[in-house]
Amino acid sequence: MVERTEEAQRRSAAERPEPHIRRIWVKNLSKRFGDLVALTDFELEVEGGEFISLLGPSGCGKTTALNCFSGLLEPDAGDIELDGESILSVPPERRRFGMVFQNYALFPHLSIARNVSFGLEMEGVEKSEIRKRVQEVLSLVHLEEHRDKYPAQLSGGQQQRVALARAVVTRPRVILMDEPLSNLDAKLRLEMRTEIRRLHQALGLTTIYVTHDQEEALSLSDRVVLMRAGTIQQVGPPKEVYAEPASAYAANFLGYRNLLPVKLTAAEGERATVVTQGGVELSGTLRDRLSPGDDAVAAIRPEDVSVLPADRKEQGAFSGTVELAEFLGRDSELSVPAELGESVIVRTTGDWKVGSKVSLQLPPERLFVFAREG
Amino acid sequence: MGEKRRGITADLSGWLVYAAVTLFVLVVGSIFLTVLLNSFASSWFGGWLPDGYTGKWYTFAVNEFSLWRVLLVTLIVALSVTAISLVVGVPAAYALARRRFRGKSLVLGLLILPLLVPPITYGIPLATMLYEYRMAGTVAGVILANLAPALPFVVLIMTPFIEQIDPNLERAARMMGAPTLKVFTRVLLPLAVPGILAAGLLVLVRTVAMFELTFLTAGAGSQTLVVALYYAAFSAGIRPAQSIDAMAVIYMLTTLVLLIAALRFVNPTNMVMRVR
Amino acid sequence: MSKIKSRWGIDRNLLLLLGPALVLVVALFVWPLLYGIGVSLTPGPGREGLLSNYAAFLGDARERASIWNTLWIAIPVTIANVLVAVPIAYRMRRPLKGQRPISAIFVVPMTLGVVLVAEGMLTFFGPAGWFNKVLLTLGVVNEPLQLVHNYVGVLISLFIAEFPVVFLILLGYASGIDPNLERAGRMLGAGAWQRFSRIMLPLMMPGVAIAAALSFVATFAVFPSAVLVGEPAGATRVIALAAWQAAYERFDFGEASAIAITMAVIELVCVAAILLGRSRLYRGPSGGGKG
Repeated sequence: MVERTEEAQRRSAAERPEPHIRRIWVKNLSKRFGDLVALTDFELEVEGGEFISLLGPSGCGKTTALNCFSGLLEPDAGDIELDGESILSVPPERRRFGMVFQNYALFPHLSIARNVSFGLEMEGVEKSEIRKRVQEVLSLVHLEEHRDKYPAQLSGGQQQRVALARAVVTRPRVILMDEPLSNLDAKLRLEMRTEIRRLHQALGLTTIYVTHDQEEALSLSDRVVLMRAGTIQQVGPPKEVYAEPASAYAANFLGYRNLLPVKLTAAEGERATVVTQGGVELSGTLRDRLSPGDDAVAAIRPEDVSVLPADRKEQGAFSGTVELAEFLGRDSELSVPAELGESVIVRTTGDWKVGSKVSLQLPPERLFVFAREG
Repeated sequence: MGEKRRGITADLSGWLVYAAVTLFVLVVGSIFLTVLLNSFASSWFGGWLPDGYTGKWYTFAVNEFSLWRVLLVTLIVALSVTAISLVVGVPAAYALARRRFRGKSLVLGLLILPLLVPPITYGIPLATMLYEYRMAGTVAGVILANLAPALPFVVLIMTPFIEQIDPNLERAARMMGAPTLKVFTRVLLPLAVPGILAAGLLVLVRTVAMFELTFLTAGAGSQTLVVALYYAAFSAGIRPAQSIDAMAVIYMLTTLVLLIAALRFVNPTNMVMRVR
Repeated sequence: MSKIKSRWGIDRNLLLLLGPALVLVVALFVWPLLYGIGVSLTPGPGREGLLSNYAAFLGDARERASIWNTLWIAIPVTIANVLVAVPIAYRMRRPLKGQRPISAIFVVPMTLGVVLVAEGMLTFFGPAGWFNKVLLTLGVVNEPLQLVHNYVGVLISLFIAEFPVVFLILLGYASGIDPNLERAGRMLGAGAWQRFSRIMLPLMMPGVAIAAALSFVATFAVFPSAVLVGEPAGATRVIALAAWQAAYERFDFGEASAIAITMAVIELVCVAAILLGRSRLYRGPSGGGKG
């Protein structure tokens, strides 16, 4: 759950928006565009105040789902219930959701202050109240001194903060964000991530966030929804999704960069024995229902592979030679063609030179065996 | 994208648009249809349709208005104006698109000005000057007169077009050792061709339809179709309306042939450039 | 080959590229214009004084009236063009079915030009033409409407000839506006009218100004249709006609030039007014995102 600081709690008591929702229930949402099936039976329950990420590659349906939530897109089937009432027939202008777009979509002909106040003006809020709230939210995102500037005069990061401010100032019931950070450079992205997290803790708004960046999803969310080809693959808190991916696809997407094609030779409870294409036997943890003889994938994170100098070879370790070494500051990333028959990507501390002989260990409890997909 | 719209209002505005468009098309189409029908009419005394049909007005018009020569003059003038304005205008547009120099705004303004000033204003003195150079009433004179607005037009269209061709492409070619001429012919020109085609066809069509300047500078043997049409329409009392309409049809066909050629290469919305 | 760049950034290449164009423009436009100004300042037959030609023009009531006649034509047509084109272009901003054929259809009257339209109008809008026939048959009117050889005829012909240009420019602008801006407006609670008036219209204003300026330039210079479908001796005696008559009927080139120069000045003032007016209403690009 999201931890609240005292300050955030104090703030939220004063600022708690009116419809602080209890629950959104998305039921069996489906959408197709001609022959293309964008979304199939999308079902999700979101608790009020939760930060949910829809994670997946392009084309997985996450943006389609978001557009259905916003009301900008009408689904072919399914329903969206907010606190028990269906909002499917409510047009976006009356849904009282906030939205942050990938390209910010700031009104170029209005000043920052007018951009932010736009939603409040649409609501008919009183002028002095507008002024107060705009001031509040601009100081929340540290942009007060730019209030009279125009979007073109601001940097990308600043524009993004204005987009955030514009979306939250109306105290929406839900905030939707469509890959808001993908147009920013790496450093800004990290800064803005902190900003978004800070805002969420301060305001406690229910947030649905779309991204293809697993790091973003893991760092920001209460729960991650991993999607693929219009369906939900896995839902869970970041820790769970990170440590226990439910499929080869999930593992692949979440950074298990070693994916060895193997065959299952024996299975006992959770323990699996597999053999690589090169004939080497490995022990791992079974994650899918498989029978001996089935094709499978053995996945392990680069960080979970332990590396020792070749002379320290131990039971069940494999030897190999470092082929590529990438210096990453604290860690190095090595590519090691090993006895296994495949190159293993390893991330570890220490100084490793190309050509050094090493011994690799793949701990069975961190080696996951999944069904292989066509 | 199946975006949700506000039901009836959106549909209503969509229908209004189609209605407006249909009305416009109907009116304009009917105008042309009337002209067409009348040109084939043996006579038409106020009924819904002509009383009879004949093709004789076309032969009559061709002879009466010397249409073969007029057509030839029109094509010569239009093609010459197009060619010259492209040859001179595209390099100028390139210079304006790529280079920075003092007085650039002034030059740009100067090059655009002829499009803003009424043709009569510079047409009358231009006609007088042509007369003094003994070029009054010549085809060459007509060509020169029509160049005045044609050249700026090419510059206006081509400058933003060239601006949006990535300059890095030329730099890359230069870095790979290509001399300036090769950079032009092998890199820039191929990329600029769509714009050049659009500009060229627009100038062509525009020149065919350009009235005032030719009217002021042409003589009996150097009229273009549009001016001949005007004179014929002016003398409507003397000549049968059907023959005038026959000429009008020939004018329409000439322009439509050029237009169809244009639309094969160019999207109509691109034909109107954005001037910033 | 080394380029010698002077402080002004001018070098041999630049002169080669721009030179011919500048020469042509100067020879075919600037010089005649200056010559025309010169002639306008040379007192005509029986006159004295530098501005006597202008005085002769502006002093004669009938001659002066040509200014108002022309403005009275150009302004309504331009306004009508814009008022009709804006909603249609707005509605067509998202690729509509048949947008390309529709645009193509609009281009046709534009290219055929005003002379052909005028000539065709004489038959179609004439007392015995189809338009009046339809109205009579439908019972909308009892007598044929007088739509040619008068002020209305000129308005119609100019509208038909210039509306397509205005429409295509505005369509370009409307479809170039980032669609996310409208979506953002919806999410912020803006209804259809508010999205149009608060977001789209302000962003279309630069296009409106340009289209209006171009339309005004073309309609203010009206000549052939004022003669063919108008009342050249009366309500549609436009400035261009007055200049022409001075030059080629009265051979008073002094006054003709004065009229022509006055015409240009008035027109440029109006265009400047349109363009300045828009920059006071709006500034900035229509992109709506990171530069």
